[in-house]
Amino acid sequence: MASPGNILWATGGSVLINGAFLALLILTLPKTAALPQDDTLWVSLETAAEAQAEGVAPPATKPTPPVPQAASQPVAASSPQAPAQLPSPKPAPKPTETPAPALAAPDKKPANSASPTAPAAPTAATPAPISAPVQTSARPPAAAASGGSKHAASYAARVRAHIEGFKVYPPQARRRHQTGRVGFSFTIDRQGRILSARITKSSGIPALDQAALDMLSAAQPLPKPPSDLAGDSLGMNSVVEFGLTE
Amino acid sequence: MSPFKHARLMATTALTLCLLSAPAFAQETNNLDATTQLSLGKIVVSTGKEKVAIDTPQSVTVLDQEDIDNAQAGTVGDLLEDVAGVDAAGGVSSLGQGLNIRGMGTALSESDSRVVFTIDGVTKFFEGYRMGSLFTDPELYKRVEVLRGPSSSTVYGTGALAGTVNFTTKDASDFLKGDDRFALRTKAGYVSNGDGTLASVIAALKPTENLDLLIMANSRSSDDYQDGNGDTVSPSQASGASALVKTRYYIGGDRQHSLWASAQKWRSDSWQMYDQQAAAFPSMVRRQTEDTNYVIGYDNGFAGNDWLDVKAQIAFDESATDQTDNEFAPTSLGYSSQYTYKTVQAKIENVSTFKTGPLDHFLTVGVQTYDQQRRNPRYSLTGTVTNGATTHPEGDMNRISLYVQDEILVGDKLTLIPGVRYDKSKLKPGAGTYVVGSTGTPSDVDLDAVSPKLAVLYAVTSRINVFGSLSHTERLPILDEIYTRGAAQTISLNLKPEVSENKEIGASYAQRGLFTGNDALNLKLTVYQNDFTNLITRTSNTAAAYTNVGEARYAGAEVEAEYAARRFYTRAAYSTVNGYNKLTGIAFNTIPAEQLNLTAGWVMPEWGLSLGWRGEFAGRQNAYSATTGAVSSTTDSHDIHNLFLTWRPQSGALEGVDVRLNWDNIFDVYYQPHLSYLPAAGQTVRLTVGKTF
Repeated sequence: MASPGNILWATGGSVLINGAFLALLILTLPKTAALPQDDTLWVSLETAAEAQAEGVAPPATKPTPPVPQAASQPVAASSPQAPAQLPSPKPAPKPTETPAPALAAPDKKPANSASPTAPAAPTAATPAPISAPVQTSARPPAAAASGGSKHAASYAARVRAHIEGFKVYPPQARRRHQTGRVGFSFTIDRQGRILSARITKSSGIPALDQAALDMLSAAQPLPKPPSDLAGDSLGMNSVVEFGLTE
Repeated sequence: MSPFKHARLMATTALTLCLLSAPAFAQETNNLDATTQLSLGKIVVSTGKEKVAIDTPQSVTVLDQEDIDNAQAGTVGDLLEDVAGVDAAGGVSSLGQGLNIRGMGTALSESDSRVVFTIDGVTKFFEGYRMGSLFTDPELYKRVEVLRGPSSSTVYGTGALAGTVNFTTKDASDFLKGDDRFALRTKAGYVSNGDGTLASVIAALKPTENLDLLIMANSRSSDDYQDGNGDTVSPSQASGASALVKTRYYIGGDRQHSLWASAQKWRSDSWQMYDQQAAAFPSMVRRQTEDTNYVIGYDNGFAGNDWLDVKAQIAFDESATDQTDNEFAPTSLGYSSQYTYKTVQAKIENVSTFKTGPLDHFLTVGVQTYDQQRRNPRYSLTGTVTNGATTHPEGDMNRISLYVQDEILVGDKLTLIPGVRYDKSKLKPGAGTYVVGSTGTPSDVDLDAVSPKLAVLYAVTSRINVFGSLSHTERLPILDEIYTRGAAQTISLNLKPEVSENKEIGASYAQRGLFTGNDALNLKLTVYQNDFTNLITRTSNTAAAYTNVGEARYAGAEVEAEYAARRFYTRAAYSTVNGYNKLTGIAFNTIPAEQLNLTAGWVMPEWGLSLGWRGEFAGRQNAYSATTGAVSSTTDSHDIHNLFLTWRPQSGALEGVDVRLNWDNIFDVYYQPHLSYLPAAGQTVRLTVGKTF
């Protein structure tokens, strides 16, 4: 009843349709990207007050995150089924030899990641990646203690300066005078490798959101957390500005 | 809540806080990553729609607050000495200096109108003979943009055949971080050579969420410095007091809609040489110079409406010198006299963003008015008053200008920037002005000019841009040129606008991640040829004092190259200019020597330290007799080495302090830049210590 030709057409058609759905979803979603991780434990470092002051969505502390899609529907880009965007889906055992994983905002359709059987929510078919602290904050931290806040502050300052050094204003956005602020959060392990990263507040311009993630990706490894900041992983959020005024 | 969860939250607060205070933090650590030292990556705001220097299809240099602070300059000439294609001309002290861009401009009067200065969008102009052309203090500014070549004339200035220099004063928001309501910055400086001191206080206030206020006062003083031979150079002092009050009220929540006002004053009162530029005569005179600038502005970005982004301003500006106790020629020039240039200026500009088919447009449209009153009463010892002089006539000038510039994006690679400026001016002779000698009643002069241009930028690859521009720019004659007369020479009522046909081509290359992950390389080359017709020149015959007989060619090149890795950066800026009278073939004496500036620096973020070396290398240059073409004098080449250090403690009791130490001309070399009339300073140590509370 179903000839191989029909199956081929049906599969092809399904891929196309689902691809279109995915593309639509991706284009309308705030950009999120995350790397899968195994048993790394979380220390969420977000607080609502400062995050709100800077317009960053604080998913960890708000029951309804201001960017609900980002929290509730992690996008397929982080799927292990999209290896082109994730050269290093799992942190290698030896940290120093780990190639820097590339982060990608899913502007483009990830190849073959949309399953024909889940057309309405292609992302649901993929194993849920840890893309937002809100999803993992229930996990108990293995060891959470704090050093002096001064220590933490100077470490954070170093991280920020380090990341900023990798900022590249996308040429076409620059040319089109597109400017904006991108809020993002990310987690790192003790070696300074990025475990996950996501956009918490989109600039509204896909190229700038992607540039924020590219900046993080290129900045690896980040300065290693000081030993008195305990925990297997640290989460941080920040804002990067792509501006054309001074 | 378990105790250990509490501890976790403490860490949370600390980390999140620091990472999020982005703008304030970025400002403080600007010098802590070497890539921020790259000049071609800076934003240019005065070319219509803001863009990055390397994407700008013309030759441009931006100095930001960090550059200005690091230069520790006493005068504007010092501040701009490292900028390719820009030279201080004439004198070396606060009064008596002029600027030369691409071989045009002196500290003398009329040809200075080819270099246009603006402060917060207000055009500055002073033609005071032997006094220089711009009276101000570098400390007042947070930003200086130098746009070389006449294509910048469209938006920024009438007849800017050489280029424009745009200054932006400091703002309260530069000093207020986050929710701060008040910030105080104090700064003290010392200059070893000439025993110079600087004291500066800035108070920045935000009494309500929507209101910013900046109050600043500076006092600078120094004696004459010593050159490399140990001889005192007179006059070379950099002295003056200045104040700035600037406020901005944000209307509504978004920061795009605001009303602002600024008041600025610079003054100096000292005994000076009658000839501050060249010290040609030993005679002294007392000069009280006051430069006043009031601006009220309105900015509205009309959030959500792409058609409107309006900036409007009205300004009153006055440059005035009160000269007394004139020992030079009290009988003929007046024992005391006043030189005042009062202008009232208004400007409204709108930038629209829209699409026509596949093209994106950023359209700038503006109207500008400029009313100038020039007065020069001179009082003899017996009390009689003369208005102006034969070579310094009183008069009024009214000008209205319209300009349109469109930035058109064609596809992903091509950008076209056509523009046109229309100027109409009316010149009226003032009291004491005659047709010839002291007879005849001069008439008004009406002039107009149309200056079109086209600039093209093409992105060959994501790293390589090529660009070019063609511009036809007309400079309308000024009061000096029309109404100057002699005992036997008449005024020059029939002068036509001076015309420049400028061709410019260039290329740029930008790459990130060349050897390491985040290093950066930028290169930019600009080559130009600027042909003048109707060149306005002073005559020595018995007909009109000025004529349009001249033809001239200025040609040259500017190269900027820079590289930065995480800790290291280096920059090079090279310029060469040739310029000659096409009728005689004789080179002009306003052509600077070939110049190369090199900088290499090392940044140590963990110590908050940045240090480096800066070298200035200038070639040999001749001056020629304008009549015979024979070499009349030669300036030797010079190599000057300087070292600098910036320290900003990141923690401890000294946090918030910034220390800058420059050791200039470390080998104490004697030299005199070709366009300078006086030798430059010998070995000099400059130190400033600032503290922000």
